Amino acid sequence: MAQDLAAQVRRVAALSNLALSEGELGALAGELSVILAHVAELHALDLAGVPPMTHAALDEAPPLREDSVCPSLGAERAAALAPEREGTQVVVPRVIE
Amino acid sequence: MIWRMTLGELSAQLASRAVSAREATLQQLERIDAVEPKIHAFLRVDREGALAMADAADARIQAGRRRGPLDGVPLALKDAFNQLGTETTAGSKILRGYVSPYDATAVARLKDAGAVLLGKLNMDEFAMGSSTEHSAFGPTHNPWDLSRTPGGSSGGSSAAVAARACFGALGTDTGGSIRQPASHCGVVGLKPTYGRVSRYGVVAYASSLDQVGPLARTVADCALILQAIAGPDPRDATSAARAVPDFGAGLNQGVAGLTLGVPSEYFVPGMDPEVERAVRAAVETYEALGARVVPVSLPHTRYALSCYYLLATAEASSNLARYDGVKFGQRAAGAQSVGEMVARTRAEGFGPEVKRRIVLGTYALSAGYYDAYTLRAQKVRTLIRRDFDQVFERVDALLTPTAPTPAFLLGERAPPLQRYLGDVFTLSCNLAGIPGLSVPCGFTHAGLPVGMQLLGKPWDEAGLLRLAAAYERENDLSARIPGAVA
Repeated sequence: MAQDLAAQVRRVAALSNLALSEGELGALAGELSVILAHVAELHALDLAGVPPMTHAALDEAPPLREDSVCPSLGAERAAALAPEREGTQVVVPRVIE
Repeated sequence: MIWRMTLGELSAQLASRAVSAREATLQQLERIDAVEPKIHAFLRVDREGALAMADAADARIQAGRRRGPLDGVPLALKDAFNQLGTETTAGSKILRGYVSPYDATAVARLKDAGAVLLGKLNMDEFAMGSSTEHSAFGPTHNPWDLSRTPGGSSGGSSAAVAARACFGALGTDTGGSIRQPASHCGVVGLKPTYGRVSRYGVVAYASSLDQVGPLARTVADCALILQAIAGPDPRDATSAARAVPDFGAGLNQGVAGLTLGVPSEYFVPGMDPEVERAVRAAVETYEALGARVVPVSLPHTRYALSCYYLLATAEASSNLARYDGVKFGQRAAGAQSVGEMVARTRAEGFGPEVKRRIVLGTYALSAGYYDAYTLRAQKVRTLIRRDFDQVFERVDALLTPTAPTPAFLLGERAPPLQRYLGDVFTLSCNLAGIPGLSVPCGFTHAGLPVGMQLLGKPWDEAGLLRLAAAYERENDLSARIPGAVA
């Protein structure tokens, strides 16, 4: 089980795009096993027929705004935030080998 | 001393032109300089910006165009709020250097109301924590005892208000992040009903739980700030299309005829006896004031912690996927591929608590575990909500402790699960989407503040403020100045 969890943490870290060290992976596996043991209490509840609550919005339908063009940030200001850029383009390492 | 006034008192002085916004702001900046070396509540102070806003307020007031009770009043923002032209880090290294290109709606509304914005306040990284110790920029110290945390995640906000370094502040509350620090610092903090205040421009932690609210020294001050920021926003589809009532109108109505429920599940073994005593005494005060107090039960409370940590982390793992070093924020240097750049940027940029929660959340969302964890937690959330629906058929509001203990020591090493247990009284409110307020109700023998929590029916912030104001009139602790910053 412990080894299973270590492998799962490694897989989840990859899914989360986190380059974690062996030390971090090991510590997380230990902490995760304690947390999962605690949340296992939810399995004791009979949830047959209970609908899931996915959101706290308390009014029935969210208001939709009119489908019209609004001012937005614009390429100039958006690109200005990028760690690396050329003009209004964001630069990243080569994607295609 | 202007900084000793409450927000309401300053507002009246500004209106009568007994003091100017510039004088108030200059004094507040001096006060910040005096207390900051001790408490480290601010991540950044915007002197020039604040003085410019103060001068603009003075010009309006001179011209007879005062915008209302916040015009010229110095306030501060948790660093989760985008404010145009200011750095916004949410307490994380990964956002260092990110300068907001726009205002959050709550910030725009404070500006429209004429408030003077002093700067950005410390917080646990991405609001994940209850002590500000998870800030990448060092912890904030509790003004009542500098060796203790101010609570969190809005700990910079609560410490700054308690230390009179601002007249009020905005915080965010996902599982107690306004109410718990308010309790630990002896100030008033309000988490409105989900949808009452726009989340547009607020750095997201868990979108179905996050809500924006005020921290201030008095109940009336909280009402004034909430009034300015509440209301529908076309930029946030989860903001409710509801009329905003006058939150100050009922503050003097008293509590005679109201029914308060005291849930047995909120008085747990192991809670601090001094906290329990202070909250029980507050129950007696309400009875003496003419409220009816009845015992009630919220039987699914014990599952709130598990439910919260599965759902909040699942939402966080999605929300935080955007921090990839591509379009804004920090980027790891020297990566050879996009994948390596993203994974290393995140590994270098996020702190340990954020990584822990992303991993837990991604695990709970991943194939094979979704039904067992996330879906199950969503169903338990329904049961928690139903508990509240049922008791609110019989009572007007609930009274509980805000936290099981007073502020804990900085650097106290506890395993993550044990730390999460400190949030046990505040989580259900976010899961159900209802409003909650923490108001000071006493001090321990060691001089640490204790807060009580009032939980209300959906959209009944006015009822909570009325209840809290009635208590505050009987036991007003707002004038005490923390010894370490007196």
